[in-house]
Amino acid sequence: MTHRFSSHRRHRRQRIAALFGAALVLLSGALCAQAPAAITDLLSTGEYVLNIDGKDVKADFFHSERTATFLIESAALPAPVVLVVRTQAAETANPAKITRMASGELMLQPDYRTQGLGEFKIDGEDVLFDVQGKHVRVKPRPPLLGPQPFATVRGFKPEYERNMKAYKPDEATIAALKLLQAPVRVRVFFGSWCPHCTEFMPNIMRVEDELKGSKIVIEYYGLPPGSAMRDEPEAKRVGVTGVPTAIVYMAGREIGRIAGEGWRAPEVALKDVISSAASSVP
Amino acid sequence: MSEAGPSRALRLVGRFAALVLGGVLVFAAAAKALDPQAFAEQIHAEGLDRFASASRMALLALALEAGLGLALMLGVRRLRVLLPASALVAFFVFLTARTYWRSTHGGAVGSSCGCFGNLVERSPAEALWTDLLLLVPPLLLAFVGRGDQRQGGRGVGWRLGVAALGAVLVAGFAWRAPGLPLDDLATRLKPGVQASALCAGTGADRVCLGGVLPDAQNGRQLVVLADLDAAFAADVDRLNAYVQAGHGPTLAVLTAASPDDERKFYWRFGPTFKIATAPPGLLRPLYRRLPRSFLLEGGVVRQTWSGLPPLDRLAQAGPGMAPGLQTTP
Repeated sequence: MTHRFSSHRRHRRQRIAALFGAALVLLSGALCAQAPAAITDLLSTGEYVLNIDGKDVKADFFHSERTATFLIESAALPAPVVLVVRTQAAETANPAKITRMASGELMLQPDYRTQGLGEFKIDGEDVLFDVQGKHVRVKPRPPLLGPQPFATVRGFKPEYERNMKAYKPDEATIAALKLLQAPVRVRVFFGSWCPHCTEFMPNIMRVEDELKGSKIVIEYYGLPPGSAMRDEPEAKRVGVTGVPTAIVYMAGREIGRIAGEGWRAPEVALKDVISSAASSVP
Repeated sequence: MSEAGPSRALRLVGRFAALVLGGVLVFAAAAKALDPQAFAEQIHAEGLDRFASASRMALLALALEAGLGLALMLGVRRLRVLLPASALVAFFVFLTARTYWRSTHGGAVGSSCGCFGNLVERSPAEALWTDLLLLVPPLLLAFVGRGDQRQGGRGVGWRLGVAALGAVLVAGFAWRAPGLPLDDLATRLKPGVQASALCAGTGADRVCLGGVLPDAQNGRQLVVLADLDAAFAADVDRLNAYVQAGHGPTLAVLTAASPDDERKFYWRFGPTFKIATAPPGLLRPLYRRLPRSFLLEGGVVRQTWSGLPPLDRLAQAGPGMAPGLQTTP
């Protein structure tokens, strides 16, 4: 009798232990499962324009590199639109689920989706989808061409402003350039379509900002993409074959160029060009 | 009365010149045989593949160059060797001179492969002068002190046989080379090389690997050289998964694709890794076949791989959440 009782208790304990173990496994599984992630790195981009029913409209584009996702905000759209490139999905987002962070980035909560718009279509370089009967086309932004004032270039793409802020020019070099007495003209040939220019041209834009009031004048000249760049008359005349390229002039004469590695620290490259020109003067 | 032959000194000069010229031709053939595809691309770019495919022309040219070089090294200085060798040298010099002329008249300025394949970086001017100095004087001197080659041709038969065999072996090696693990030997990208030392172009147009990879000098970076084509598209999910895991070195794909093609690829396949572009002249000497990958540490190439890197192994480098992703409960 005692034996049967103790055996029954043992079985009961084993069942409780098994249940407890199973609960633990389920709980840990639930905790460890990858919860839907918020997209926190949506940065404004000026690479695209929005066209609705054949008409370009004002729109703000945000891009998350880490998730290959775009968020488009426009008064012409009934709601913000999210393009998930990996699944080719277009969907509308709940504006309340979009958070503007102090860093300037946007955060999209995981439960942002309000309506699926189906798969977007790709037409050459354009992306097409429909929202409430409107035909929407996302197009690459046409390039800036010809001579452009600093303010126009600066405002053309948010990437320029962002990369300008991120660049820290060498203070001693900037101070030395400010002391320069002879006028220097720098012509920057760039492509607003060119990723390297987006990366490196803001460095010289920041240098220009720092050199305000100095004898150094910086000008910007936009070139078209592809083979048209080499055939552009001004590029041909001055012999620019790649962008970005800056030509440095003193007294109307070319004294050197900034290209390639020089863009990492254009103020240093500029000072080197000026110094070598000065040292070559007899 | 017997006719006096060339002096011993002249014969020695001629033999030595033939040895030098032959050595240069054999070295050049061997360098190109390591990466016959690049040589075929060069043949195609020069428009020399009108009568046969560029790959076949490449194998034929390598066999000819190696065969003539070996014959000269073995001391065969008969006209049937020297005249084709002269034609070959003239052809090389013509090609490098034409590239140099184009570069000085508004053509694309870049490195010239010249007759040494992709192993050596040379500007068009350097390629022209190197070819002129290394090939022309020994060729001219090889004609010196030949005497009567018909009488002094002991063992010419077996020497030509060895040269022919060598030519066949070089062509055979070139045929099999793409499948052999020779990337580090055949390209400029190898462990220990500085990213800032891998460059193309001259003067203001000079561009280096360190310049096209924004984070080349900082920390560890995994770089995949790739064409943005359908074959590479099949690898995007694996690379995306590596990036999403957030472990291991940061990943960048380096391509010679145009910004338009890069954008099209982006919208079709949704890569979540950084894609950087570089001029073809900079990238071509870094691979034999794409994709090829390497690990940069503090601006120095630490390791290379044919194809994609071992992503699983690299992902074990340490835990961490990829920036831009925040898990919510």
